Amino acid sequence: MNGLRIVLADADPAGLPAEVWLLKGLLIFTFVLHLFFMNAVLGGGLVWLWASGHARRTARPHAPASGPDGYGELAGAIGRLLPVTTAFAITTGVAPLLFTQLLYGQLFYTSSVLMAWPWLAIVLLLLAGYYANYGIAYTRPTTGRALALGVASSALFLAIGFVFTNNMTLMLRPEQHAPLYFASDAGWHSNAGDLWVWPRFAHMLAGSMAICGLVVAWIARLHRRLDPRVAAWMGQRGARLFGAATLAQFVVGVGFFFALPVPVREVFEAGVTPDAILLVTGVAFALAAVVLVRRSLLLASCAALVAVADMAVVRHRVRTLLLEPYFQPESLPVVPQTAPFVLFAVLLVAGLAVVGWMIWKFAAARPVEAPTDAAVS
Amino acid sequence: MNFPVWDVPLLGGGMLIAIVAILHVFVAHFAVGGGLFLVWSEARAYRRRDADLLAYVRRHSTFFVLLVLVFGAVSGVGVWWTIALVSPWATSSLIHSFVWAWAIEWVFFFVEIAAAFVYYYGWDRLDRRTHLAVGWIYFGAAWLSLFVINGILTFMLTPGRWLMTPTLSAGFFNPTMVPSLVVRTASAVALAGLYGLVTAARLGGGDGPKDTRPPAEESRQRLARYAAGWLLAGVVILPVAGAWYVSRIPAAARLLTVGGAPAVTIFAALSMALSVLIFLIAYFGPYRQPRFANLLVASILLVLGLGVTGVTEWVREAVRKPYVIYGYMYSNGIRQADRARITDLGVLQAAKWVDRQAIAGSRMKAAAEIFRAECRSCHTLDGYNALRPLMHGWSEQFIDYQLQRLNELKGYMPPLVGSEDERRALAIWLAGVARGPAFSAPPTQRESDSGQAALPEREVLR
Repeated sequence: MNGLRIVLADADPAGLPAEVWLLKGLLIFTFVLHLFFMNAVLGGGLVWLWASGHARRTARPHAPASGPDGYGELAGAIGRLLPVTTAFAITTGVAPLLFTQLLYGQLFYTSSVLMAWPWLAIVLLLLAGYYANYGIAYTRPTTGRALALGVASSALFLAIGFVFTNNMTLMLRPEQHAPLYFASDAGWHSNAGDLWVWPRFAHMLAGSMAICGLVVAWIARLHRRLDPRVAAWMGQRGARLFGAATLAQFVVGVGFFFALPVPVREVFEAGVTPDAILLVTGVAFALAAVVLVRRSLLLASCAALVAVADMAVVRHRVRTLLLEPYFQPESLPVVPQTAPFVLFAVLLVAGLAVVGWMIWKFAAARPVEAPTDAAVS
Repeated sequence: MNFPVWDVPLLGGGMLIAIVAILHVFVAHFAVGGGLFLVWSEARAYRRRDADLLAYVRRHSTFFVLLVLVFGAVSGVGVWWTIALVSPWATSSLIHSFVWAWAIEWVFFFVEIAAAFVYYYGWDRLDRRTHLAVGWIYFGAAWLSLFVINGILTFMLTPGRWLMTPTLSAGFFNPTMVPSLVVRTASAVALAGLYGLVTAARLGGGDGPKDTRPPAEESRQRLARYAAGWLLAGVVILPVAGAWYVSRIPAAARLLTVGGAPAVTIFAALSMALSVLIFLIAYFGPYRQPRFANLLVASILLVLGLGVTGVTEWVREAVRKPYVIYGYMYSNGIRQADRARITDLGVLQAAKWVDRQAIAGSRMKAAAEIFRAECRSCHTLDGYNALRPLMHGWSEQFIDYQLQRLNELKGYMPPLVGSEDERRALAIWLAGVARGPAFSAPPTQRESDSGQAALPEREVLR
């Protein structure tokens, strides 16, 4: 019977170029990096819409007087940041996808082919969303043009997130691959019918809003040109957004947990096991971050970082548990490429040092007036 | 056949890759050469106290960032996306063999993007020396990124020692790595000049602070001539480096460019002809007569530049046929080493993604599955590289004869692997395709008409 037939591509004869634990570690590490930038883009676009909407209302000639707020400044600051966060969301997204293809290519390529058109559409959606973010950065937030760009950007990045959620869950359903492919090889499938796709997408969305709240709070802390009152207002708004989105995340998270495939959920419910501890730790750090955010932004951010990293490991455990009956990367042959890995590690450290130096020089420098003729002479 | 094959209607997978890749290369090479152009020109402006050049470089950097950071980066991701969908077998092989090279490239890419932002936003913030240092960091990282990707790309045509010793270094430092690097670096310099001409041509009158105000006509012409100089410098190196590159590719691949495959030969000639044309227009136009360096001329050169990039990249891909990794893996994903095994076993047994339930007792459905597994990654029925017009009027016997000697009759095609019975079934199915569109629809309705017996069950069922 087709419906019961599991088809899994053979492993690449070249084998894995390093031990599985190292590759998994790199996958999770780079994925966490990507998460922060991706959240800043997705959440940033939505926060920009909210802030610019308020700014537009207060900018009307006969708008009722309101207290001191910084919606315009907030929209401006987020808008200027969007092209940069988008660039790094893309850059940091490359590495985890590389390691995903290396470890799980036998499943990932198949699920991608099954939903080839939506998956390929990401390229166009990303291109349009990225240009829209540049448009936002260079347009006054209160204009209609900016609003159109903001709506387009958010819609595009939400669509990208949804397609990603679909593929990342479809690859975990090898039992579906053959029936879907034999039904149609046109590349129009999705995994939207799978129950846990929607709460998983909502989970990512709530997480994006929470992390963006922290971004807003950090902008308020670091932005030198802000009026202190506006900075304080912005800091409060950021903290409030982080708290509200994280609390909403608990509701979404519970829904997501109960939507998980039963065998996976049972593993996390089986008493005091490493998996359960991992899950509870993540929740605890998220709660701690909510408590801390009004007292110490730095501590709250550290707690949020631990929570996100922890949840990335939980996510990886869910993947491992779901695939266990069909596929385990540990079963793949390993043909170590030690020297190239060492070169990569050295270059990574050097590259991060160079980037750190550039950011330090940039942050340390004070904006100067545009150069005059004398400046070049 | 290890992975499912995506049916890309009309365009076919190969053309889809070509479209995305050519557009990407046209911008990605500019990302390298344009970086050198920016920092070199900025340093020159300081050295010569040339305010117009500095103002121009600054304006050009906006254009550069908007094109390179957005389109260049996203289309690069697009190439990866597309090859993974159209040719997952080759993508998997490249990633497994070169993952640390890809990871190193990612580090350079990361530095490149960071440097581009610091350079762009640092015009009014960083001191001159630091700004130039960041510009050089950008160019260094961009060129090193090209260095890594070039090594992997050239490996696909000339894997060299890797076929005997499959290590990363053996594949990376392959026979065409250096000549191709010179070609691509020269191309990057030429494209820097080409895009520089476009922005120089757009300079016009206007008000504003001196640093952003467009220069006078005389200065505009001087800047256009300067950009044309870059274009000419790149274009002059290209034929020499190109000849060096062609001399290092496999003899069978070289033969395709000199008559072995008419389309490849025509495109190779077109590549040279367009390059000469670009040189002549740039030299006698913007370089010698910079007053003609207007937007029209720049646009014509840009279109010709895209044309020469397109045909050259197309030829580079085409001469690799019948392989996707030369001497190792055919373009349909079948490894050369697996050929004998699949022939013995039968393709329907060896292929992973065959609908065994559907083909049980159905010879034509089995043939359609063979087509999907072996042919569809390159061929469409009615679109690009279409079989129906190609085989129009061919008899079943003639198709069967062709299928037996595909790699001998057409050097750019892989051999058909599988059992004799499978080949005959495919010939019958293809003869039906050649007769008309009605046949190529799901074959269920026509099986009874075809009068063909089903393949023996042992051949279609595992």
